[in-house]
Amino acid sequence: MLCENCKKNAATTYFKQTVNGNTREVFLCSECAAKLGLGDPMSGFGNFGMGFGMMSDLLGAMTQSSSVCPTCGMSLNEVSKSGRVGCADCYDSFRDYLRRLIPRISGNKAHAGKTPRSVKPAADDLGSLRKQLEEAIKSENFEEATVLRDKIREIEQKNRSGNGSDAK
Amino acid sequence: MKNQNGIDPKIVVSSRIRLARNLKQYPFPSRISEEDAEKMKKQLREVFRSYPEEEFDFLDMENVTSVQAGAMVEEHLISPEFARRKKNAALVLGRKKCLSVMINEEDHLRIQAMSADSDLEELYRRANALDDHIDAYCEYAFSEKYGYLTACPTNLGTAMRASVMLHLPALTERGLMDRVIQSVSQLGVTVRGIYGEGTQAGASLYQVSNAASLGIGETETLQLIRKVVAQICEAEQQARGQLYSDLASQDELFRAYGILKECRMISSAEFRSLYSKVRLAAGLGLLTLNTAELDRLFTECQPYNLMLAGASEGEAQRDRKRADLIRERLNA
Repeated sequence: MLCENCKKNAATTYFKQTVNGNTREVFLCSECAAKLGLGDPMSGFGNFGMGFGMMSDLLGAMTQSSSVCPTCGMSLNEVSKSGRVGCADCYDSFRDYLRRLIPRISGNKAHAGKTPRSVKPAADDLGSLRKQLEEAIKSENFEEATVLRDKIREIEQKNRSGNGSDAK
Repeated sequence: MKNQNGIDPKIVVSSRIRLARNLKQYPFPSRISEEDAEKMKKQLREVFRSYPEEEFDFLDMENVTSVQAGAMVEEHLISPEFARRKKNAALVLGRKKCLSVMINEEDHLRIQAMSADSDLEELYRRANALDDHIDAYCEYAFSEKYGYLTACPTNLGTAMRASVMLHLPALTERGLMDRVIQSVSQLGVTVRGIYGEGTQAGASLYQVSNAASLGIGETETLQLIRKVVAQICEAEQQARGQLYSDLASQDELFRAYGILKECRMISSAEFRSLYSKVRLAAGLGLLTLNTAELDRLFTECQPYNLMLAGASEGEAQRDRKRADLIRERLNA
């Protein structure tokens, strides 16, 4: 990811600031971070393949938020330090942070594969996916829109090819 | 020569499928209260008890000694982290010796299917069947976008790790492993050495597994690993052919066998390197030895397994015990 300030160098620092209830997140390169007085604890995102810990340190080092998951009491600081979340709800409590982090681990991909019994068959969710897509486009969140579009296409294709053959 | 399951025992040591799962209603193990952990364990016990395919034994990790736990780590039955994590942790062992489940490792459930002579598809079928059974009684933490929710975001998605342990002495000897590791990493596959690889004392054992589980389905993952394993095996075969066709290099392998058959004291490190040579000799057809039995001996010769069999903690005594065991097996 490129630095959101100069749009030239690779971003190495994640910064989150909440002012009067408005949260702002930015990814910056070390130079811009220094220029803006935010400093840079280390250089480079390092080897992603080495795992989540080091990268999350980098992303989390500049995190100024003190938000806490209401379900398990885990703080964002703890999440970024340990590289682990405390419960399923953390994925919602820290969604902004994780929405930026997870694509850096696995690429910008949505789940493909098995779903538990409790989840409705995918075809039923086409409507809600289309709605989410509309919203993503409206809010100019194009990364997410691409993922949603691909997911819709995949389900449509599956429905077409599996038409009538899947009696279950 | 491959067996009926498509496995080449000359190179493939074992295969494993691991699924990470969490129950929606409880915080993950790092945040779970003792009370909730007890409740969850009780609930899961009932679920395992009602599994029609297989009977299970339950082990509360608090009742497991550190030597027993260490031996289980050596058998790859549990993770080193799980061996240390006594509180709230339980191990569920299938009587058919293939399935096992770590309860309250980093995630609530780590379902594992492991075998020396089954392929990944068969192991996945078994792990998946047990997963379906648990799913029928418990609600899993899951999101449409991220798949199965796990304590560490690197495990999201299918939360499946498919891994195959390979014996790659010729690629190691030729110094090609770094290149192998690098080239398959671009395909989303991780290869790592298990016992001090890169040193003289390495056993040349490597674990090949998928790096990511988000955005890639189970079938696709299994195909990927199978494909990469086949390619690595082919490269190893070629390297073996090139390296061990002359008498001088074969002689080194026979000598390793000679030492193992007559040693009276042997360190862990020396045994690892000799095991590797003898396993290679068996793979090349120079020695008539069962590789599966050799691999079992390898595990039995690890420090905690030896202690479990009565060796004391002293290294010298363990080295004697190891030598006795090796001679007994190889001269049988």
